[in-house]
Amino acid sequence: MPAVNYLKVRASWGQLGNDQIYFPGTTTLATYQYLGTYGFNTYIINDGQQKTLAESRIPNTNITWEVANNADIGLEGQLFNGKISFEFDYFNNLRTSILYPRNASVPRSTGLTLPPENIGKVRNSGFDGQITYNGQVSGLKFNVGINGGYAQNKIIFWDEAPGAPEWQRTTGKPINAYLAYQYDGVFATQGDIDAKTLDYSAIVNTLRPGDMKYKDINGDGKITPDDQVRNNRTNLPLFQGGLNLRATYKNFDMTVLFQGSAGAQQYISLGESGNIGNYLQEFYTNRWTVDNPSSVHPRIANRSDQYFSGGNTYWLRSADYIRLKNIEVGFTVPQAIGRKVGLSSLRIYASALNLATLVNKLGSFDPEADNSTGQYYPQSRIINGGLSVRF
Amino acid sequence: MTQNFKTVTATLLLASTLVLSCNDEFVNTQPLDQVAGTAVWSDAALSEAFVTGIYAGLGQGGFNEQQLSSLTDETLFTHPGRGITTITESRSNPADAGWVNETIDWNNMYLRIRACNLALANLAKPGFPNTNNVVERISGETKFLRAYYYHQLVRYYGGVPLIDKPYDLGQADYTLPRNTMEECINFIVKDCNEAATLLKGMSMPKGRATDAAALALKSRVLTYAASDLYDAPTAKAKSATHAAFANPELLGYVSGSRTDRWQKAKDAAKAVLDLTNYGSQVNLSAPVTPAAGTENYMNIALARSGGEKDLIFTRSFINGKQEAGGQIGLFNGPNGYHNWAGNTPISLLVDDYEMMDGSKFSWNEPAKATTPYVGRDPRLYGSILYDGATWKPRTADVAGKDPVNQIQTGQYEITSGSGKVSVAGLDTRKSTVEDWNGSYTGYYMRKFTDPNPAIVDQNTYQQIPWPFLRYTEAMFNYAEACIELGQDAEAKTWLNKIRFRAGMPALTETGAALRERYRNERRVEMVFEEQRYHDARRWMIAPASLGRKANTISITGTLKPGKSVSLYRYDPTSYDYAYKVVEIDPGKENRAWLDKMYYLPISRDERNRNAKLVQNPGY
Repeated sequence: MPAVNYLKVRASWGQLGNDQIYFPGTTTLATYQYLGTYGFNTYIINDGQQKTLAESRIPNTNITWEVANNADIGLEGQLFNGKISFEFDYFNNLRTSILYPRNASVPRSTGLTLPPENIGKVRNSGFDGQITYNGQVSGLKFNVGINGGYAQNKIIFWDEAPGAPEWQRTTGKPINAYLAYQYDGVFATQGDIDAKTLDYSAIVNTLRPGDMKYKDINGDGKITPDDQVRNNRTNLPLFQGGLNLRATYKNFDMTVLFQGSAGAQQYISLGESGNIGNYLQEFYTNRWTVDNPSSVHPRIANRSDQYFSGGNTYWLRSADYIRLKNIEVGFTVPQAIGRKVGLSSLRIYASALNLATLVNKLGSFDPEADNSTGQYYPQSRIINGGLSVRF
Repeated sequence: MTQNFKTVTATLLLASTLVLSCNDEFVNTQPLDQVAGTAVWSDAALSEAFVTGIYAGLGQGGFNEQQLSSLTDETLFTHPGRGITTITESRSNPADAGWVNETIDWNNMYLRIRACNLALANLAKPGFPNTNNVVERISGETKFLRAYYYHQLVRYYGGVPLIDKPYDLGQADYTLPRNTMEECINFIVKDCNEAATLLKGMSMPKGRATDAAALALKSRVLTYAASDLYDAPTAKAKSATHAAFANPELLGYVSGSRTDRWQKAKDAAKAVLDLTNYGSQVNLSAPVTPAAGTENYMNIALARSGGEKDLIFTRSFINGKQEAGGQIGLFNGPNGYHNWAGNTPISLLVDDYEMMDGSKFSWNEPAKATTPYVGRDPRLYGSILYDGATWKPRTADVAGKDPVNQIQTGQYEITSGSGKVSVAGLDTRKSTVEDWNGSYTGYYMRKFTDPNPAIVDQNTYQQIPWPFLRYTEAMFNYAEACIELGQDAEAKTWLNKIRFRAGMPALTETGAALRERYRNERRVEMVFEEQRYHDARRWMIAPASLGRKANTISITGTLKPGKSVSLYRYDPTSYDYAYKVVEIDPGKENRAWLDKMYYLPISRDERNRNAKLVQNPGY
């Protein structure tokens, strides 16, 4: 195979233990889970603080570390005298014995503060790869590289409430998948409300034009919390990738980096808009009003105080984006000219960071920010021009 | 090679010696900030610390940012998104009950009940010497607390599984069905009786359970047990939802005599009234002056100047430990003082305060309607801040706009140049100060906020305790039982003691009319104390009380001819005031009553864990 200069297939498997277990939602290490201990606090007796003790947990004497089984198969190679080089990996990481309390199956009437047990199982699998092409067309030397990765995690087992409807279960879904009502348009007019066939009384008392419609998932004719559906997506992208371009032509040089991701969903909230703070322009412009009886966009709410202000798929937006992250163009002054003024080299360049976002499905917010109310410190667009001089 | 071999052997020998000489003590550490469970029950001080820890289930008493009063026709909650309207609009369901405070919550109550069961199991065979009857004392406290937490569950959820032993991990079956209401009441009463016996004659520091607290709790529980909602045939007759329920025994008595139950309630209340160390000014034979009436009332609410003798069981707050319960002035105070105006009295409540002469207030009588805050029940002035009421000093940045420190909840005309302009009061939702926190209702809660001007509610914690059980409640319970047993004269004797203390004239009615006056008296005297939620339910008057739309007061001050005012202040000589009661925008809160709301739903998650739990009716 004359075209193939180098080819390597590799495979690996490893098993790691993890004992850095934190209490859910905290940065506190969950230590001493095997001991039945009582923790201190205080309570006010006789206008003073009296020390108190309370059971910290029921001990789990069988506790052990979590296990990560990491498997990887890779292929790397070079073709056509190094013009094309590539590397692909498939990985499949199975974490088992994840420490998780059986809160969903043991009744709370027991009063037990359940210890984490080694019961959880989560798979994270996907692909990684990159391919680079080095080319030359007369004076133009260039190099194009594409890299990307696809990863998805899935809960295989943990303690799940047995009675939760099938469409709300977390098992089989990614970690932290949203539970949301399914948006189904907006009541544009009072006539739409009068003509509705679904009973909304479990979530709202007075429907008004501009209110949102939901889908009746279990088909009982009523919109109830049972009609919420566990989403397949989270705020983590499924696919992330980049495109590198590097080129030189005579004394000119250029590098470009595009980056993008797909598959993430960001939950958007208008938060305190209204009495406190302003509305996002797109929601203000599109909003239902008497003069703009939209059947797509709801009326605006004050400080998110309506039933439709959150918890439904209208507010879940794709966070897909492609962004020109970095670009730099340079010109190196020919040495002959440089020497005349006593310089060994002189390069003039211009560069820009975050120059342009070509695709932003999220709209108003920065897709890289991962914040539902837009309360983040914005990335800056930086444009540099410069001289690089060597004597 | 031989040399190498020797080196290797020597190294191995050395290594094995090192391993052998090492012991693993250093990896078996004990936590330094916790106590081993086994150590607790062999030490009297640690056991007492554990029992003291069970009090934590009392939370902030009723001094949370969201208060139970906003689920009733006492107040309206200002801020959205707290689950309040889920309940007031009767939208609770098993997946989303709405706002359920930590002091009510099923999981939290059972967490504390487990602690009680654990303590009682260990104290049955104490592992330490019983010096000064410490075992009886902390066992008594624990029994009281178990009774208290079960009484919370029962009055919010109905009959619940009665668990009196601590569970261990790895038990085959954790599921138990709900016990009947009668079994639950009997269980709670038994714990109260035992607590009262164990604690009898013991001098307890403030904040701990006493024999009096156990008797007062028993009085409450037996009063509830005798009420309409707890009598299955009555509940069935008054509610179609209850009539359709297959398990009425979970929510009420299906047999027995109501007269017997009222007699038990009366006896239990009398046992509290007979306590000699409690009660504040309960032996007056005529009304005190109005000013003294307001003062007496505030002394009880603020636990000062003898008023604290009315308080049988409380949750204290101190500056040494700054907890949310010390911030009630911030939670409820006017926005014009940089406070948050959370729970604001509605017009329906304010209108239920009688005139000082004992007659009803009415917006239809011009003399009353034009000066609605004059000559009312003296307790109004200790409970509610209204337009023109004098309050604490404004903060420095607002003082210039209101140098006289009066509540401003209206819209007023002032002179500007040669003309007149209309300005919004400082404590309205159009105020120049934090308008988003203004009251919707035009009123603010005053009771329980320390009026001491040194306490700037915006950023200072107060030390007013939450009253769980008051001597006055037992007086009411006694009067109620007497009325239901047809002993009107005896009922009036005790009701009038309460009225005289507040500067109100005696009641003279009998029969159904007396019952109505009694119910209003209880509403006014015990306002904001987490009573109305239960009273409206157990009397089964919720559809016509809690189900009413919340309403507000709209006030406009118009300059009288020839008068000129540049900086507004309340001034009836310069202004004509117009008062109009307005129903609240249904988009803000559209109150409605459905009979399912008599009890909270059993959560779907808990029923998933325990299939034996029967759901409450209507869910």
